[in-house]
Amino acid sequence: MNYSNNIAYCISEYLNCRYNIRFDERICYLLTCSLGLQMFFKDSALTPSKEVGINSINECYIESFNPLALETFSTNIRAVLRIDHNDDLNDIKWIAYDFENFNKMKTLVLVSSNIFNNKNIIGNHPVYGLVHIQDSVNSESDLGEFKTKSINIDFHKNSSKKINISHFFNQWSVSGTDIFNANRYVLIPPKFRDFNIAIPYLLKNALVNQFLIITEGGKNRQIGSQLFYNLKNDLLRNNSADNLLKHINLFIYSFNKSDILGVLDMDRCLAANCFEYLYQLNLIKSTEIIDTLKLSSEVWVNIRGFIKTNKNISISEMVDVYDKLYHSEILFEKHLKNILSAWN
Amino acid sequence: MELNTVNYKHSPGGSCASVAWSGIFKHHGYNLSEADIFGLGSGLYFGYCAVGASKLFDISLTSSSIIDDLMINTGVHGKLIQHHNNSDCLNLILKSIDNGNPVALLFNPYYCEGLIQITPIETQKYLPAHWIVITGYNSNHKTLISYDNRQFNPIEISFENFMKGRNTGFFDQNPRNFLYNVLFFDKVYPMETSIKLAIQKTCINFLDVEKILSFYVGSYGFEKCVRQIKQWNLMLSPDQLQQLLQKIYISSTGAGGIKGAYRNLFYKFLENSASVLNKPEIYEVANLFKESAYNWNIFVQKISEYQHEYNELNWGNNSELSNLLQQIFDLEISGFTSLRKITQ
Repeated sequence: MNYSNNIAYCISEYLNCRYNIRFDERICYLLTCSLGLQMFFKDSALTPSKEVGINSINECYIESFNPLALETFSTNIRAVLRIDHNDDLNDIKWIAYDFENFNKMKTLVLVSSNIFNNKNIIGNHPVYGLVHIQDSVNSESDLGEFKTKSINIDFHKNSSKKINISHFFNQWSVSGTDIFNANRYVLIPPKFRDFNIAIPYLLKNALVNQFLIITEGGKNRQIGSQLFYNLKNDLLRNNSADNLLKHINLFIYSFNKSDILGVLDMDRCLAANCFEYLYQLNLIKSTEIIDTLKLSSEVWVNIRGFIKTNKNISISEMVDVYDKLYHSEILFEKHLKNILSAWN
Repeated sequence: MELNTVNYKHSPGGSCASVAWSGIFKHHGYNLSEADIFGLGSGLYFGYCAVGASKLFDISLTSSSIIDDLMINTGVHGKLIQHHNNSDCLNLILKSIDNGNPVALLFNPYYCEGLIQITPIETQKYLPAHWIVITGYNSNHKTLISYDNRQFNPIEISFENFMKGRNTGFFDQNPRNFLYNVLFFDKVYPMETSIKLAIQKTCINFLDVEKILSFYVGSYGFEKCVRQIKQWNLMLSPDQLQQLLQKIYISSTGAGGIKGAYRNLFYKFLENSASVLNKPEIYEVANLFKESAYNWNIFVQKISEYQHEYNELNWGNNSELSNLLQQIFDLEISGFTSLRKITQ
């Protein structure tokens, strides 16, 4: 089971390498407010251009992800976040400069999932990475020379890849008007007077924010328990073979998507680890949320196995899947609310 | 069609960011005043920059991440995107107008005619990047129709100046081609929770953060500034001191449009918050900031007097500026300490 999350790992390592600041990956994960299980369009990148609806599930997938994770993290810890993307060549020269001048310092970037060349995944999805130049470079080099170099990207503790640098010179049009390109980020954390005193306030804020993301906002929100409630109702309203297939394919695509970074349980076990860490820090008193998330992880692993290996899933079996997921999420939301109420 | 405008209601005010986004939110049906936007964006701030070796000093009184915080705290899905191609960006804005939506835009102040007209020439160099709202365009004249926070009537900006104003000026004046892609106004969180989130983040800035970039922040910054301001005349030449005082005057008054160093806006936000949260104890805290605003007015008047004539008696251990700042600090730290407890 992968216990390392893409954005949380990248932020944690970035802050550690650049500023010698230890932000535990579990804390980073909570501060990005990425715990919500949400439905996204397949062919969408940084920002969805239209609202996701239950009637468009054949265009969607489910993931535990926050499209504004980096922005959320930076506002939660009062950091400065800058997107630096002057042009492709300058971005690469910055990465080379870091490599040459800052003891092989890694740079935080956003790239497209298409670098995994996974034919099961369509569209371009944002994937964070830490990069440094693999081959030795001269930051004064011209574009032609750079294009022959390769770059190493770390996605999380257990995942990295070497790719040709020309990837950074691609642009991808996505639905709506966004042009998705590899972005380079600069994230500058503040200096706290006493981090141990500040961290409970930072985390409480983040968990309040997380609770809001899951439970509030939007007429047709497709997130958390409400998502599975809506999906189940859609299947009960329209129990045709066609619609059943759409629901099954929703999960198959979702599992294929999460496979590229080795996530087997929608990061539920990681979430459990995070709250376990808060419990060890004495910031939460109850372990109910930890147990709920561990159970949710098992549910997801079982559902994954069931859907991937079964050719003939019935309507009632699919409804049962939704019941289990709805139950998991509603319990998680309830325990999160209780934690916030009890927080000192 | 020659002229296309959206049905936009402009309310002038002192803070360009808050006025612009108040207009945008109101357009989408959320009646948030300039003060509400300022508060919800965790806009109140104190930062003191002191790099003695470079003779670089400054005071900053508003947060630079007000819009990011506003988006995260209210739940509106807004992503900052860099649009390098001027024509593409212009077309995006025209399309937004065609769809009936105004666009808030950060701009080089030298291309904001309304602002430049009312700012003395010698202090224009201290103006930071400026927020305006585009509410229409004239395709025959090739102009954009815009509102500036200090003006009642709209102003036309040529397409040519729009291009020039997008990525020019020195660092603080250069908007760097950023544009917020704002998509989901229906995901606004309940006001009660947004207010608490925003206040808690403002408290973190003041009570827990020591330094952000080169600024000493919050209570730590205040303490440092109170000590050092007595000796500015020893650390800087008379010319450098005059320039510093001019710069502080511009930033603390929003180029002359703000009274009380934005504390009046925060006081009004707190008054509204007391009612929404049903916590009358917040009215007392609001009064602390009302008093702080009064003291800031005196501080700014002194700054204005001192910048015109150098007098050694204004500095040293009996510095009136230092004493005023100490009084302001005492009020604000009391205010934030109470706010943290009340909104926990």
